[in-house]
This record gives sequence, C-alpha cells and structure tokens, in this order.
Amino acid sequence: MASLSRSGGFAVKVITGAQPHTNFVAVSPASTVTAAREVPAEFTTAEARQDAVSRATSGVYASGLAVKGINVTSRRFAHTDVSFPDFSAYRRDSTKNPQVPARDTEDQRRALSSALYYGAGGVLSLWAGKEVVQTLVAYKAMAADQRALASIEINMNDIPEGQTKTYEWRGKPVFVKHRTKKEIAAEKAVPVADLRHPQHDDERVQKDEWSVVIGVCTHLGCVPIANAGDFGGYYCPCHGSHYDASGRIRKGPAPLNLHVPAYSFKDSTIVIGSS
Amino acid sequence: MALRLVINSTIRPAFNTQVRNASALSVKDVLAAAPNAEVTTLKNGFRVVTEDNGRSTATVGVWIETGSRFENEQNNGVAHFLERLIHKGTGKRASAALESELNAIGAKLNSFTERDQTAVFVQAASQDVEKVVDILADVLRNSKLDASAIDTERSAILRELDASDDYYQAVLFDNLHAAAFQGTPLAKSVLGTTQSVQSITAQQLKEWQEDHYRPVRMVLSAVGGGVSGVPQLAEKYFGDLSNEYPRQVPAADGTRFTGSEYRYRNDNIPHMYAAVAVEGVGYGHKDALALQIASQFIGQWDVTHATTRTAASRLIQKIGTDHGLHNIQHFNINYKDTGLFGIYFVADAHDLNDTHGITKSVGHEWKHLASAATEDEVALARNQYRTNVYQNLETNTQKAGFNAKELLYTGNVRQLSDLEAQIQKVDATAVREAISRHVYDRDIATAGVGRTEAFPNYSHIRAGMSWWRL
Repeated sequence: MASLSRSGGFAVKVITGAQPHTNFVAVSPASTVTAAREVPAEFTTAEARQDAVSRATSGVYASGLAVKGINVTSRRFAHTDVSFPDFSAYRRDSTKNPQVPARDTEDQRRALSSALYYGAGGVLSLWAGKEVVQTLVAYKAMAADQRALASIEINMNDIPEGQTKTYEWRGKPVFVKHRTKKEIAAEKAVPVADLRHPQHDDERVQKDEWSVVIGVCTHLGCVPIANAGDFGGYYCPCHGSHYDASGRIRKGPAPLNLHVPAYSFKDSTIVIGSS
Repeated sequence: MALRLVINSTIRPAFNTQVRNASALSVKDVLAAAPNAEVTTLKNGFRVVTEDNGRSTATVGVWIETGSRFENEQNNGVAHFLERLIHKGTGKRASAALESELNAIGAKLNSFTERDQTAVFVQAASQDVEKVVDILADVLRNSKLDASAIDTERSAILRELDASDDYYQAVLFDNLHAAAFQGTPLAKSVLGTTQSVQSITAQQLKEWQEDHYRPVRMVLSAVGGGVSGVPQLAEKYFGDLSNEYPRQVPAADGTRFTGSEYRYRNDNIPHMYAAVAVEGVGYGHKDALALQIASQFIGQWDVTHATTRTAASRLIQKIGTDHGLHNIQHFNINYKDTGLFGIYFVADAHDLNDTHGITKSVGHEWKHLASAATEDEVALARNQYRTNVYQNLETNTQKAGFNAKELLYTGNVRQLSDLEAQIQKVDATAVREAISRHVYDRDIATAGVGRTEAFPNYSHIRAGMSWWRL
C-alpha cells in the first residue's frame, strides 16, 4: 500500500538568504505511526480500505503533517466510465435533438450575432458611406461664393419704365431693361429678315416690358453701355457694335445678338438663373 | 575536353532517354492497367466486391455496418464483445477446431470493431479461398456464444478496458468523441463502460447478431489471387441469409456536433495530449478528398524526425523547434455521415505561451488554407497524399478494407484510376472552398489528457478560427 504525504501548514517564502530545508518531510514507516482505527481483517467496503491506509499524525517526524493514504486497493474508473455531463438544460431548443446535424441549426443559432453584425454593422457602414459621399460632394461642388450667386432675384419695382439696370450674375453683368410702350412697338416691328442674327423680339422676351440680356458683347467680350447707341439699346464702346432695345445686333462687328439668360418671374421679382 | 564532348553527345542523351522513359510512367497509366474491383449483389442484398490481382495470397473478409454508434447506455460495448466472440468457436467448429483448421492452411483470422463498422477477415494463400469463405460464413452465422466463452472474454475485455487508460492517445480520442458528439451514440467508446461490459448477457449478444449481421449491412470483400470465384462462393455460403429483422432495424441517424471541451488532468502523465477538431464530413461527401489533402498539407511530425526547419509542412517549420512539442499530427476521420477534422499533439505544456503558440499556429494555418492556399502548396500536398494513399493500399488487406469501406459508405467502389482523377481535380480553389465551408469560423471540440494545466483556452482557439469576429 502506498501513501502520499503532503506538507501541511508550511508556507515558507524566503526573499533572500538561506532557506531552511524543512518544508518537506518524508514519512517513515516508523513504529510511532499507528493505525488510526482498528483495521478490519477483510477489506470489503471502501471505508475499510480507506481505514487501512490512514495513519495517526502524531510523532516527531510526522507532526504537522496531514497524512492521508491513497486507497490503492480500489479500482479506478476506466475512462469510458466517466460520463460526459448532459448539458441539455443549457442548450437552445434548436440543438436539443441529437439527430439534427449542427449545420442544420446554425442559421438559427447564429441569428443574433448575424443580426448584430449585419444590422449594427450595416447601419454603421451606411452612415459611413453617407459621410464619405457627403464630404466628397461638398468638396467637389461649386464654391460657396459662387453658389450664393447661382441665381439672383431682382425687384421689378426698383426699375422704373424706360430704365436699364445692371446686375452681376455668375461673374457677368446682366442688363434688365424695363421697356416703354414705344420701344416695345418699335422692336416688334423690326423685320426679322433684315437682321444679321435673325430673331424676333418674341423669342427674346417673356414679358414684353422686360428684356433681360447678358451684358457681354458678342464681338470680343467687352461690356456694352446701356441706353446708348443708334438703336436705343446698347452700345459697345470697344469696336462700335450697336444693339437695339431687345439686345439684337444691328450695326458694327459683333456677329450675334446679346445672350438671354434663363430667368423667370416670381411675384414682383425676376429670378435670373432659374427658368 | 574531347571526352566530355563524347559524353555529352552520345552517352548522356542515351542515358537521359532511359531515365525519362522509366519515370514517365504516370500514376494514371499505371492505375489504368491495375485490376478493377468488381461488385456483385446477391438476391438478398448481400454485396460482394472482388479484385483479382493474381498474387499468391488473398484477403477475404466481411465488413459489417455495426459498431458502437448503434449502441445505447445499457449495451455499450456489445458490438466489440460479439466481434471478440467470433474467434471462440461455432456450432460446427469448436474454438480449438477453428484454430487448428486455420493453422492447417496457414491462415490468419483477424477482426476489429470501430464506431461504425466491424471487420472480420482472413489472410490466406490464394488456393484456400473457398475454405476461407466457408470459415467466415460459419463464424459470422453460427457463433456459439457459450456461457464460459462469454465470461472469459468478459474478463479479458475488462482487463483491456483497464489497460486502455494507459494509451493516452486512445483515451484522448474517446474523450474527444464524448465531447464533440455528446448526447449521440457516436460519443460512445467501442470498448464500452465497465458496468455495461459486466452486464452484457448472452441474450443481448445474440440479439445484436440477429439485428446487425443482416445481408444488406454486410459486404464481402476479397482481394488477392484466386478470388474471382468469390461471388459464387458468397451465393453458396451467404445466399440464404434473410433480411428479416426480429426487432427494429438499427439506424444511425444524423449526428449532432457540439462545440465543447473535455479535459482529463493527470499530472502523473508526463505530457499534455491534446486534440482540437471541427466537425468533418462524411466519407462520401464531395469535400472529403479536399479536406484529406488539406490535412496532408499540415501533415505530421514528431521529435524523431530529422527535419524541422526543412520540413515539408510550413506549420512544422514554424513550430517544430519551439513550444516543447513532441508530436503533432493532423487527422481527418470520416464516418458515414459526419467526421472530425483537426489536430492532435503531444507537448510538454509547461506554460500557456507554449500551448497557445501551437494552437495559434494551427489556427493560422487553417485560415491560410481557407483564404490564401496557393496552387503550389496544394500541388505539394496532393503529391504527398497520392504517395500516402497508394502506399496504404499496397497490401491485399488494405485494399480489401478500402473496397469494403467504399461499398458500405457510398454504395459503390471507386477504381484507383477514378480516385487518381479525383485527386488531380483537387486544386487550390477546391481546398480553399472546402476549408471555408467546414473549418473556417466553425465550432471546435477540444480534448486534453495528462498535464492539462496549461491547456489552451477554448475561447482563444475559437476566436482564432476566423480572421475577425463580432
């Protein structure tokens, strides 16, 4: 019979210096060691076998030692005798049937983590995508000062009949002319066939009283002077192009009529830049 | 100079041509000329597969679809018990008579039981094939199962069960099955428990035989010389076996895999024995071969190998010299409908650094196979596997076992030339896909035996099964 001795009550830790070699004492089968109890002659029960190997812990060498014999007469379990615990109580319902392969229930079992992954992940990536697009668009878009000028509103009450006012729109001058009845009649009567750039006045205005043109001479890009020239419209001082009250070229080197920007009427304003 | 010219111009070309001819015999050409396995089915569903290779020896055996996965708590071990009793005499032949009869023709009767099959086979000279079939039919159909033989065998099995605890690898794999397939019959050991082996009765053994040794569950496989007449012999000796089941038909249903861990710590064992596995595939699964080749890619090594830094496997190069590793082996076990694919290793396991180093590298290797295996790497593994598989089919017995397993698991037998074609088809894509499907980010079962204080942390290994996880 074997016995195992364990050192009890010793917790020696020496940081430095000599360490006394007292923390292990071999148990000698000395006569001072006596059986703890009467040992029965027949080892029929587990208790009896245990008694046979347990010893009293008195004596010089054995003091302070807890001696407990290992009962080697008992047979240890074979590894197959250890039954694996039943974890059914902890299982999800989908995995309780041992005949269903794990792969078949995987979608259910991973639903939560998939939902989290694709749900939270999806939201986060959508947000991140939005941020990227927004940043890029803001970065590549028209500068803020230009966008502020993208369309301008002109109060029609500011311009009395017969007057022309000049505004700046997208870096270019725009002439807004409030025409008189006489001017309107004169422009409507111009025979289109005589024009260098044949356009009837109706094509160039939305309301007869208002003519809106871009103030850039179509010859070489000078800015004409409003209410001047032989035709009562615009006159370019650079090379002497004369435009009429509809902005059409009538005399001089310019090849085309003054351009008409997109514009629209809104209540008492003209909005240039939106049609 | 002149001599060299002569060598260059005459001798070397001739020599080269010779060598090229000798080595140019491709595996495909060789296998095309190999004998074919032929399958015959008897009227009662008993299947016979024969392969006559003209040798002077033959292996004839019966492989039966039975085993511990058909057992329950009460009769665990009965399949193995019955297989052992097959050697103990029949109604016609007493134990001694059986032995002397086998000895007289110089034959050997072998048998083994696994979780899902029992094999009983005889290795004999090719001239004695008929005698062998007669003996096989006799031992399988007329086992005496007498009380004294049962009791003798019972104590032998109990002793063996006791001794089995010293085969740590076997204990480890039993424990791995107990954990991975917990709650299913596949968790049961072939050996049975002490209690069940003690309580198995002659009646249970007899009933087991009646339930399982039925023609549709049996395959007679014969490989060697003189086996072409075996189908007729099978008709004669097994043709009258009926398919009636006195009780219910034993069935092996789908089997659940559970990610789990089983540690048996015993510091008196000098090393840590450990296994980490994911659920593999069944024998006939389309990914079975790709996983087998992936398994080969990671390979096998132990301290006696001369190669470490020069090993064929990248993993071995990486971890062979550190981590206190003694032995490492990748395995791929295929049952009929499921399997285990993983790594087995023995290490000093002094601390977590060592053990985590091993499992981390293995996990890394699996992820590499799932996402980045190259054609070169897979070609290397394929060539190694090719050599291994054909080497393991060289003997009659090995080939008979292969043929029988093919027939039992898949219903037909692949010729080796077909197998070769399939091996050639497994490329990096196939390996990557198979590993992605079955290994990457899959649950693992782990088992440890011995010094498992520094057993790698389960969640740590599980987290290492994919590149990142939520």
